Amino acid sequence: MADARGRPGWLSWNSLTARLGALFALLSAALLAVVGLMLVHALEAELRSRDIAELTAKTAQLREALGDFESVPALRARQDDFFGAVYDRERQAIVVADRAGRALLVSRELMVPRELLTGFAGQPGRGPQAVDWTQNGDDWCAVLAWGTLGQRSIASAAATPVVLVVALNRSSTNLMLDQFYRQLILLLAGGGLVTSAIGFAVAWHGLRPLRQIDATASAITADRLAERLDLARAPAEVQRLGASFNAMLARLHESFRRLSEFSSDLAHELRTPLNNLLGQTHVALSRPRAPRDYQDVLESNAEELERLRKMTEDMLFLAKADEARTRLDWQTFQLRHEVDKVAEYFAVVAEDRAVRVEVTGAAPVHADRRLVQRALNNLFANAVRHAPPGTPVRVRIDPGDDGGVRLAIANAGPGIAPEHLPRVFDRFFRTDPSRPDSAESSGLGLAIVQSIMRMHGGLASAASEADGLTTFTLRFPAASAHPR
Amino acid sequence: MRLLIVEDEPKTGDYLKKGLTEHGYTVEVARTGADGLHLALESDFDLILLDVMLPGLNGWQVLAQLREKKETPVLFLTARDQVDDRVKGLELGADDYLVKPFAFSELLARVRALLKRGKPAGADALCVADLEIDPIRRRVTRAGQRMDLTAKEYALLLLFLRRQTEVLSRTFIAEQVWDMNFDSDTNVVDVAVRRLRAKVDDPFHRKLIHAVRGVGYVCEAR
Repeated sequence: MADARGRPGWLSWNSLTARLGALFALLSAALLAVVGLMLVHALEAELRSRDIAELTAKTAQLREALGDFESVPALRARQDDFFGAVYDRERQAIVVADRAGRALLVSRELMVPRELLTGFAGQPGRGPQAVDWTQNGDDWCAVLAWGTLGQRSIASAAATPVVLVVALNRSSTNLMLDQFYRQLILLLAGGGLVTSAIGFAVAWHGLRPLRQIDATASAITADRLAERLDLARAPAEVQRLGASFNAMLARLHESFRRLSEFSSDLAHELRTPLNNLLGQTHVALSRPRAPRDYQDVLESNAEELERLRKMTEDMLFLAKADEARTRLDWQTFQLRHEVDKVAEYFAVVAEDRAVRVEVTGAAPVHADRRLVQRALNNLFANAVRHAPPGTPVRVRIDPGDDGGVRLAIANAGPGIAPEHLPRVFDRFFRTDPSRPDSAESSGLGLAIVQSIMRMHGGLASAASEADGLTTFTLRFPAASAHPR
Repeated sequence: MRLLIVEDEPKTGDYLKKGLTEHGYTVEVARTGADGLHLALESDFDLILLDVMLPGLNGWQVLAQLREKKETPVLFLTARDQVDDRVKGLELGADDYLVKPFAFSELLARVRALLKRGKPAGADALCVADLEIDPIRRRVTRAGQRMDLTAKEYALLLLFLRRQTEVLSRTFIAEQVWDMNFDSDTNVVDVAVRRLRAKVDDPFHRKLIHAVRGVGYVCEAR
């Protein structure tokens, strides 16, 4: 069974409901069967032991009676006396046999199996023995015992030992037991059906939260990512699943939000230079001008276009990093060496702004040298730009205790507001969009830093104390923990 | 110097031809791969600028067939910035590779580098107007006066004098002087050039290093 989306339905063998229901039915049927069998067995044993007890009592009576007859002919002549009033002609049979197992007296047509009789007759003095056999479709049960003829007569020397057999036809009992069996089987089948139905119902009911998750998940689309599962009344097992599911939705929602925000930011970032280009060009073309004016426009256009080119390049870099298409050129080198190189690059700007760059510590890293250089470059540009004149930019390189390397670059300055900290690595994020030097920065520098660190399996983070130090930290993982 | 441009995008072909002609090269443009290959095989060019995405015969096929007969240097132009493409081009025998969008000054610098390839940049004295560099003794003089330059200022000035009259982009300068091979959000090059100019130009009436707005800097005696 499958629904419209081609997934297995709730009643297919893949479904938990079906499996739980079937398991429940199977278990209850097995339990019923075991209990039923035990009951039948106990009943059968009880009935048999009662029959044996009855036969044993009868045998005792007959043994007693045997003493009244001095010989076999006497016994034959007065056999009705011998069989007595307690004899149930319908169900019982009595046989008296000699020591060779030959029948001397038979109450009705009954053939005690020869080997049973001779087997017992071969063991003189043996106590009573219960035996079972089937004859002409009838089930017989008998007690065999030794008795003595003529024990009470005066001439006691004539006492003759004989084998006494008292048999009981148990067919009616067995018939009753068979009927009981049949009823039990019917009961088991019915009970199995009922319990499996109950099992299905219980499983169906118990798995309802899963169906709710299914319904919610089916209803989720890109523009309805705010939907969440209601877990208030869900059972504990489903709560965990549902919580993970909700957390996944929240992450997706956040990613989608960032992506769409990024798209609109991108459009906005492109709009400003495009607007300038279009406007200036149109104004310039609206009337004849001196060559110098055209040159002005072209120069300004070149600046705007350069901005666009740079932005495109950065965007492409980020897109490739996102798709993990950038192949890293792994090598082990001294991070200090690259820091010094970048510090030297920024030396003139730092000097210009009366900012000192101080580098301490050293550690080797396993990374792509050019990418690390690029990340350092962006961090330096940022730090030198924001450090107030006369303050230092401090760079510290620490080998971490986990085998990784930590690089922190700190500068004094206005700091970053706590609410902005989590977003400083976002694309196009600027704490103050109207900042005068925003034209100088593409707004992608820190995003590039973060994506470079991610490519290395590391992380970039930012911390800022109120009107104190702003610190950007790069964490390189241990060489053994590299993503590829 | 004769250059062949194989480029199907009309505007790109036109501006490349215009720019390179103005810089003293004789330029021919082919609009398809087949035309380009035909021209390249028929006559001798000093350098071929080859677009990768061409109708019919693409840039790689043109290069492969050209290399069977000729060793004319080839500079690939492409909008596809993928490592595999780059490697493929270089394996097929391309001499350099430039990704669109590129600055014209960048292209010019690469063209000059390819044409000069094999000819060592002389260690003889370099000069522009009354400014002289003695590369062996690392001495800079202007109007007979010794200039005291830092190592990076010296490297920057040396680059300007070696590339006289060429407009150098900021990216190119950062790459050549500081070995920084990417764009960054910084005005390091502007500050460095300003400081160099303060030393070698400001005290003198005749300026030698000029800003070309929106493009970069050029060193020439105007």
